[in-house]
Amino acid sequence: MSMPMDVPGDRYFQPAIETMPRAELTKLQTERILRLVPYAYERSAFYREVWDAAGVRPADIRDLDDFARQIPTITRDDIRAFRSRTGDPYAGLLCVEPSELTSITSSSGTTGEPEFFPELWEAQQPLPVASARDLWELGLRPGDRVLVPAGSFRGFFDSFYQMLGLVPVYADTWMGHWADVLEVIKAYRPAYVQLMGPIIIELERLAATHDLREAFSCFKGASFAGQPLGRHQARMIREDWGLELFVYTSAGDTGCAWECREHDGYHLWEDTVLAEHLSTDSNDPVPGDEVGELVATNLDDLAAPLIRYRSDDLVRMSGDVCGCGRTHSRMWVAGRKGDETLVRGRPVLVGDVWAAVESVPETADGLFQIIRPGREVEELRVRVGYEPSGDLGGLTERLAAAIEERVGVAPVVELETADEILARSTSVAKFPRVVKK
Amino acid sequence: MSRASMVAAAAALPRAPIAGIGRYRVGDQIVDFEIGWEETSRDTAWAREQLTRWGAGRSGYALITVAMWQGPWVSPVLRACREIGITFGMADVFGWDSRRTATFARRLPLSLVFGLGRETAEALADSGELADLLGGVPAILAHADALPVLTAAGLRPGLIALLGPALALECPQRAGAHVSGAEWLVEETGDGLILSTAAERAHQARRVPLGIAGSVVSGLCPCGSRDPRVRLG
Repeated sequence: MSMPMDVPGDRYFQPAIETMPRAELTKLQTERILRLVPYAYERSAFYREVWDAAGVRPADIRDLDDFARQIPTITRDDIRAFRSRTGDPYAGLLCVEPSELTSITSSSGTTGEPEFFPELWEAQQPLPVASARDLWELGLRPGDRVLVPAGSFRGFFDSFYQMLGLVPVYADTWMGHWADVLEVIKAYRPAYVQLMGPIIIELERLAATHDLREAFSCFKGASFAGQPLGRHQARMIREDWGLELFVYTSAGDTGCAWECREHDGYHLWEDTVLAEHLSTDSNDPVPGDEVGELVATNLDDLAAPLIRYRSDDLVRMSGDVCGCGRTHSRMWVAGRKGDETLVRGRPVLVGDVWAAVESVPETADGLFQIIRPGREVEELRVRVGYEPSGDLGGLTERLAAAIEERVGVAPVVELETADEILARSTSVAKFPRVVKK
Repeated sequence: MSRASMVAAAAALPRAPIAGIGRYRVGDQIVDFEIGWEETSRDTAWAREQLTRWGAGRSGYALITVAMWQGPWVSPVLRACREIGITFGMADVFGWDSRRTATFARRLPLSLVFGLGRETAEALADSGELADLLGGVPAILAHADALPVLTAAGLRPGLIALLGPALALECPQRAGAHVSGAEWLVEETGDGLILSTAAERAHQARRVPLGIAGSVVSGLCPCGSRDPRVRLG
């Protein structure tokens, strides 16, 4: 089944694909899986080893049920272990000659060394291109100006913007530069920018001296990714600044999943990813309205496809047609599998600590980190960032009380200024919520 | 495949009138400049020549450390990498992202590192790994603020200079940073370098002071180029 020929329309960038009936999507996924399995087995040392150990051969896989029943799931640790054992920089995943690769980007590296994402532009364009449907849905159209994002580690976005007929404005949009960026916005009236946590903190400060609602009045939307967005910040951006925010997240390291204008879950583009929703401790599927782990298979990657990759992302999923008319599944992120901390046997979730930190006015930005040497600890240590203005009397005690009330464990609270804690960032895209020290 | 189908769908869209809008600083002043499509192609061809002088070829790996705002200068370099066929990795320029640069250097036999700045160089030096990680890389091109740290570690980087809207790159002779003579005219004055456009570009500059001290070397470079060269300081 070949991809339908599509031309961008009023709402959909690829109408035939984005609204493809479920039966056709399943047929397309089946065809791609049946091509992918022998392709990967023949070319990838990693998959050959894992599948041989499981006693499965490509010929055993005849449909999606066979795939789900017989192909083993893999984890990031499996990939790291293979690389560590063999010294192969691509951990045995590479399915082409290294000299065929166009580029290599990498993961944020929040939980360890960054993982490579080899890219083969002739066969499949790099990651930014996969957001074309999402930026079209956001409302961007040829001739619009867009501010470039700050970081480059997931690829250089300008050629992607140019592909969509957009004009990139090369301003430095990393934190510390937004007084200047606001002048750029006034001069060029861009339609889009990508925001990140530290930038929102800076904008919150600038709101005291700048009319951000007026500044952002030219925007069709802004995106946000890399970490959950606290309720306080989301309300401020949407209501005070008047910015329509489109949050996106990782589709299990196979691409991205964005909100549409309905803002009801992240769309997984199922022609690019086979998304399974499994129990965290078995390969059993869980009902869509229950929290399970996103297990992703890349259907659009000939270089180093991830196949049945356990993402550690805890999600709910639905295959119901969205209010936007798109048929591709949506997911809602509940957290990360490894982020639960056991304090003297009592589970403490990042989201609960977050809600408590947000409830205290001086720390409403939700800047915090749980400090733990391992998953099981004797005491709950929480580092919290605060805005160093006004009366901070009793802040530590108030935070401790709010956290204890929420999670049932009395924490040890360590205060830092917002700038100090932001300096602990490990990538432009992610602020780690659980750290070892 | 799906991403290819997205590219095909985008091909039906009209192209933007310009390739982008860049910005450079002269003292306290910010100067905005438009970037046209034709000069983007010419800048890419020029960057390709410079990378080839450093030995960049189809079989190697390059690491490009870059911030997205540097696109007007570095985008032609990335396009040149694609044309040459060298596989390029990407890392950010912030000190705390230096571990990404370190990861690329540890895992891959890099033949070119382009764009190193002070933050990355200092972070790698502080970790004690700078010489070990980059000592075997035959071609390193770095910004002026990184040169002292790199040379102190025994490395021999070539210079990258952003001269207003123009890119200047040293060749392996390290006898001054080349500026495309077909595109730019650089003059030295007692008050610093001044720049003019020599070709038709979307942004025309007429004897713009750059606020950068330096000298200009004319004549044939030992590498064979007749482009003018700039020495900073």
